[in-house]
Amino acid sequence: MEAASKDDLRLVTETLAGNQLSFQLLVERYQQRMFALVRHYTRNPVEIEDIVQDTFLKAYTRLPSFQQASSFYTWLCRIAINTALDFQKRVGRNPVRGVEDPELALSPDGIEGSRPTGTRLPAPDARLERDEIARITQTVLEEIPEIFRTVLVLREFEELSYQDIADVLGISIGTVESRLFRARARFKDKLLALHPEFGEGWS
Amino acid sequence: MEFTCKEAVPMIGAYLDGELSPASAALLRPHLLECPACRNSTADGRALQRWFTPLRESASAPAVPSGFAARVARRAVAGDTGERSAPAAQEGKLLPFVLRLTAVAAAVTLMLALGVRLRSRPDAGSLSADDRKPLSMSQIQSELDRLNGVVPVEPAANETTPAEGRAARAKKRGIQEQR
Repeated sequence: MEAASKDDLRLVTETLAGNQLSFQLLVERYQQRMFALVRHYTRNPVEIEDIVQDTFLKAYTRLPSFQQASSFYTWLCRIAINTALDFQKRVGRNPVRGVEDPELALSPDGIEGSRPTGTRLPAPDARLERDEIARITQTVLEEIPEIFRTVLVLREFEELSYQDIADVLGISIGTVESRLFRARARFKDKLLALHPEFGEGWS
Repeated sequence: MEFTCKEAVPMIGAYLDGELSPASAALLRPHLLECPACRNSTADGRALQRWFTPLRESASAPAVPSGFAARVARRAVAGDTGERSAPAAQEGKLLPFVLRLTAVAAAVTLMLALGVRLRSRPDAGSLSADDRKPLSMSQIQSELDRLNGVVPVEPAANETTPAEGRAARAKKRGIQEQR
């Protein structure tokens, strides 16, 4: 578990002592990353702002319970993800949660790339614009169940360690590893289902 | 002991992420040298990472509105807990309406319940809410005798035979009927 930085701890302590400016500095430090994280749960800019705002307001209220042995950022991630999922539930966009695919997990034949005859996943075509790749990746992410999307987002975009992901999601490192494995297989399957042209020529 | 593809494949992601323990990595590496299928899986894993890079580095990440941090800090200190929905436009109208409706329904139900309960209570008359003290047996007897114009009986006469008791009760009933 990554410990909170000394600077974060100082700002947390000052905030708890009633210093509004210190909390403002904490928000400024993490607001961009929170906006980037929450965009994986909704594309609506107003909703993103509302969710991030609620995340920081909840963080302020719960600051006395912040365990200073953990990273302020991973603690904030946990609040943000829960706020985003609660929001989706409230507006009727029930995220697909708790989906584990036992068939995919248990069958080595279903495992990404384990069959020599299976469709391989190529890297993005060099002719594709970076923005186009980003757009395709975001669409594919939105199509996979939330449980897999979240673990991919934390690893591939937030670049958290397995231990930090375990900390954010409240699961073991072993579960992080197996969930990431399944999430990548799902991502690949969905990418090739939406864009079969990317799989051509790799069999 | 043979290290199989079934064991190797789930490790490849952690290996590429630099999260595999040295002991597990020492098992995986020789297998990758021998197994083309698992080498393909490793190549696929690397290819997958390249699909994520552009979105991670994308300039299209939503811009933070100016003054956001100051606004949030002000609201936090003012006591806004954030423990609420971030309402969508429709929900913003619907939820308060449903809450108000529920509150009104609850108030009406309470008033009805109180009304029904009050109505089902016996009224003062039927409760015989007479603040006079109840009469003793001897007082009743003397009252009966007074009404019938006979002399009062001794208190010992309370110990009546069954026949006398019946007669007294009949006499009492007669008085009640007269009333």
